[in-house]
Amino acid sequence: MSAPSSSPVPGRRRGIQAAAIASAIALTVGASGFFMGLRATSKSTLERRQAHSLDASGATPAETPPADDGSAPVAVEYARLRETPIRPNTDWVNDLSRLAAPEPARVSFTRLSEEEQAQIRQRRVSRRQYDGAPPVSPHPIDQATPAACLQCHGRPTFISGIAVPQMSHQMHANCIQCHVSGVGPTSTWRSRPVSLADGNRFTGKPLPGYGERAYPGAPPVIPHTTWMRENCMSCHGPTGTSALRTTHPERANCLQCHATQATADQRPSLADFSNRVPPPLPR
Amino acid sequence: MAINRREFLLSSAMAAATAVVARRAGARPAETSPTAVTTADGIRWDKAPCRFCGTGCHVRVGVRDGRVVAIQGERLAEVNKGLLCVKGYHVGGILYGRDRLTQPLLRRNGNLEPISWESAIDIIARRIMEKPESFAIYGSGQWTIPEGYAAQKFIKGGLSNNHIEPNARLCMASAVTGFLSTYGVDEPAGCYDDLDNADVVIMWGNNPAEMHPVLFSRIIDRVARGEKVMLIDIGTRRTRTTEFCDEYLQFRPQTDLAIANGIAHLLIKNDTWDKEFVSKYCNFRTDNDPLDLFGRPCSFEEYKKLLEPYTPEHVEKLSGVPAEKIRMLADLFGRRDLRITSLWCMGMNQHTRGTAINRLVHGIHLLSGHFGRPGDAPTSLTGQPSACGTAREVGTLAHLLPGGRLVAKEAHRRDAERIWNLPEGRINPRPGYHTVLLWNKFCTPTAEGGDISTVWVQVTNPGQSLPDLHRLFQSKKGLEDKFLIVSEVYPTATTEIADLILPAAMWVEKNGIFGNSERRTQQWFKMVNPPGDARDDAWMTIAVARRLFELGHPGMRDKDGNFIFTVRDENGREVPIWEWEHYYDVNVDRALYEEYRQFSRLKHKDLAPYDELVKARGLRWPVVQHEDGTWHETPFRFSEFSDPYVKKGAGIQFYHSVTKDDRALIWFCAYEPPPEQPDADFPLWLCTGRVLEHWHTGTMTMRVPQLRNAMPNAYVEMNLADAAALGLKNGDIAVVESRRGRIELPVWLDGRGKPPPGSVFVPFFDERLLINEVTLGETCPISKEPDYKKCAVRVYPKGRPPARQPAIGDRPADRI
Repeated sequence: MSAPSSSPVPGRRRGIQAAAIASAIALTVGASGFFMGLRATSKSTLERRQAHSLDASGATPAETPPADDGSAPVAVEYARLRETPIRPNTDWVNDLSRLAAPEPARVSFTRLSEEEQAQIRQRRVSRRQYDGAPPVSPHPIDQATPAACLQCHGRPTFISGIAVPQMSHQMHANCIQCHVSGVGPTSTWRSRPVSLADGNRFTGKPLPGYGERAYPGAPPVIPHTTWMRENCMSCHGPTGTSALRTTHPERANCLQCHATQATADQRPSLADFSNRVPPPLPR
Repeated sequence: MAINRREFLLSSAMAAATAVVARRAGARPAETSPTAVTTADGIRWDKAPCRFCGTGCHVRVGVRDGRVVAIQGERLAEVNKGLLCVKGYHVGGILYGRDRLTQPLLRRNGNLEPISWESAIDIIARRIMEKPESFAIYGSGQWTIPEGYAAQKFIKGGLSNNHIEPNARLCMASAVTGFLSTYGVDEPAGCYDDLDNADVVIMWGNNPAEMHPVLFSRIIDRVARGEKVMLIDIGTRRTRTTEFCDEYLQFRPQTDLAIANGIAHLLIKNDTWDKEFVSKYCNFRTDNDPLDLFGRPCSFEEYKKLLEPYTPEHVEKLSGVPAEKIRMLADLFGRRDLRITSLWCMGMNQHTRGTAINRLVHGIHLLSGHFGRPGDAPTSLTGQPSACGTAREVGTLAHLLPGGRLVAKEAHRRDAERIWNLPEGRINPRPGYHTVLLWNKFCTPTAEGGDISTVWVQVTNPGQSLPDLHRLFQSKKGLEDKFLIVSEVYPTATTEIADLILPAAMWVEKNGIFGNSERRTQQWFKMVNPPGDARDDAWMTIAVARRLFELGHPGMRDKDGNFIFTVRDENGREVPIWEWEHYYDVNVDRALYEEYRQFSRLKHKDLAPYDELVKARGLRWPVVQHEDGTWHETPFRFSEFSDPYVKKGAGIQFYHSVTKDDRALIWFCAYEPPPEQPDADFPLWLCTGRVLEHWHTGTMTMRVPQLRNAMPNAYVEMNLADAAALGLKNGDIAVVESRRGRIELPVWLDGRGKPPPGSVFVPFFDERLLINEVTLGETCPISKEPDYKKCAVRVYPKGRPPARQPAIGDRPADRI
């Protein structure tokens, strides 16, 4: 069937009119606000603003007083929010900031050490029932809208020096259908998580292992399904969740050299089609 | 075979043309493929439907060294197309909880002691032998089709006793009576393909974002891709579904009846009803007094008159939904260029007027002609994997025989006796007790008329899921002559007071067949062994039947003196399937299913042969064989373009019509207030339900750490204003109390769902916090399904009860 030619909602036209009026109002208010704001910005405010902006000398939150004189703080990039000295209260301490580690280089051609690899593998296993299971999140999920999830997981990013994994698959509109929190549904509950090994003897296949090579130096084939893992860089990129990182992140077309497997990808085999062809016409 | 090039081209062209025509007609050849493959890592993958809800997603189960090690969404499955929900991805974990039951246990002097299977089977058989008429089986929509069929044949064909019920009575009985009284035959005409084609999807008291997430994603993924789909949530609280909806219409509990009538009122008043559709395919009907299943015919004029009071303003007064929103709904239904799908599940079914609201929603679809085109469908969803397949189609209810036959109808009994090769008159014409009555009788002392003495529970957990638990379950304690047998996989609230516990195999530890919400029958094979001494439920039934046969119970023999569960191998030799060592010598599932399949033709619910199911990821009945030998499923029932049983040229034909004229019935049912409403003593509405991470009573999902951590305990969801007035903060412990019971729960404010002022919500998955000790036992008078969605409670901080105490013993549910 085709979509209806006109708007499916009778109120939609009225809605468009209303939106037009609303946007006109918003534009007027916004414009006058802008000019009034320009007039109100005094020289002293600008000086203070400079004092509040990012300080390379490493000011700690406690040293920087909050902006309590009505001046507007400088907007910072979301990903750097935790590191900026703009704080609601002087005595407020961010626990996450204690975890701050030097940010790894965004593009790294060096292999990870054995120890680092083991650490990453351990983390990967601890967040999945088996290789291929949707990972549970290590943080509570207070805001469940896809927009909230994409804010951090839509692209590779760092928050307080912690690499945030990018979505490995195409967009599905209901993130929490598959990804749940490993620490209770909300930050307002102090639930004590049960150990993943406790109470259950399920032992999932832990890691995909290594792909076969046709000869030494040949590109290895992909040993796991690529279903829901369409974005290779999410795991194998320089900041990915897998211990196996690409040595050549600049080459963007992964499947050009690394072959997928029909059985792992659940692709229908020839046998699936053979019995759909009707028998030849009678002579 | 030699074919020349010309013939090859010709046949290829024909094949292509046939494929195109077949697709256009909605009839597709079965999706077949060899299902099991082994990947390079040594994992063998095979298909199985998910163990949990009624959506019927297919998973790929990865098995290595005799254990399930991984799960994938099955990409060849049309239901889920490779996607699952968090429960589905973690379904493998349900097999491996540390406290799996692994040996039969008998309660002696209050303690459970291990016994042998032989003595367990003997104890059951002797109890039945003693009093066959007071024995009952209580199963569920989690029975596989062959298991339910074996129990059904055992009790109705063997014991001549009709006390068999599934817990499906608690979840979809009202949907059944809705379909029966509208179309004359059960189950939805539409299917999930409607979700790909609808312009408007209306959810009636339904939260598919959590309860049927894969289906809901099928809709919202369309929106994310830029398609125009309008989503409307008609509900009593804000849920995750509401977040994705264009419109949220919040109504007062029970007033959905008024909303549906308000839409019908406007369709008639605005003259936007589909006169052609109605004149060709519909009759009108309304209720008798007292209420019954088929009511009385009424004219269009009378129908119109009955609807007159339901003006948008009157409906607004009753329901709280603004009149303009009722007009909006009626305008949508009044447009023929839109395709509208209605979805519902427990909101409409667990309702003391469940049958009525089901009829009314079908009614507005029929009245407006929004029926029978892809995307135009009233579709009820089910909560259990085989509520349709086993409970409804096998008919494991007190009044049914397989294939839509009735116990009370002589012709139907004769039919069943013929297929079962039983002497005429074996089947008892009197229907058994419905669920609530059955448990009431079991919990009533024998001297006071409690004439059910033994209940055998399989694949369900009534100790947690029945309403009004104190009265309907827990009062069994102390009744010395009552005996509760429970086949289970884990210790539950039900095994807590069981006298005999039988360890059961589950899911891919056995062969099985499920039937999902869209008439799709799905088969799987056993892939791993059950732990310890756990065994198949169907084997248990057959072993007890065999023991009764040995003890000389006449019902265990057919007309020719053979055991009623005789299964032969390909050489015609009888296999002793009642001996566990020989149970898998033949495919018992196949044998039982093929026998059962003969029942499916009467109501044109033709099931595919077992061997076709093996190749497919489920097939939607009626599955009909074409001349070329291929089997074809039917996505859209009653529509000529899809359903082979519709007469050519008819367009739409309701060929099991109540009125025998191929027409469906458009019902009028009046709005009536609920049996219990908030008052001065119990001022709040209580609604109960599920959450995304847990399934039903949590027996399985609470043992999967990933799911348990995500949602570790039950809670009471409240409105901020109510909580503030009561002095309750997030995380405080509150008491939720009704006339029937009280429990203590943590408060969750501004959480996943947001109830309006005056109402609270509590999920029922947590066996430590049994909200069903609080709920109401009142049922729909026609379907006998209880209402878990509304009763009156009060809530207060723990340790600070309100000054006024309610009158003790004032329990409306005592009237049942």
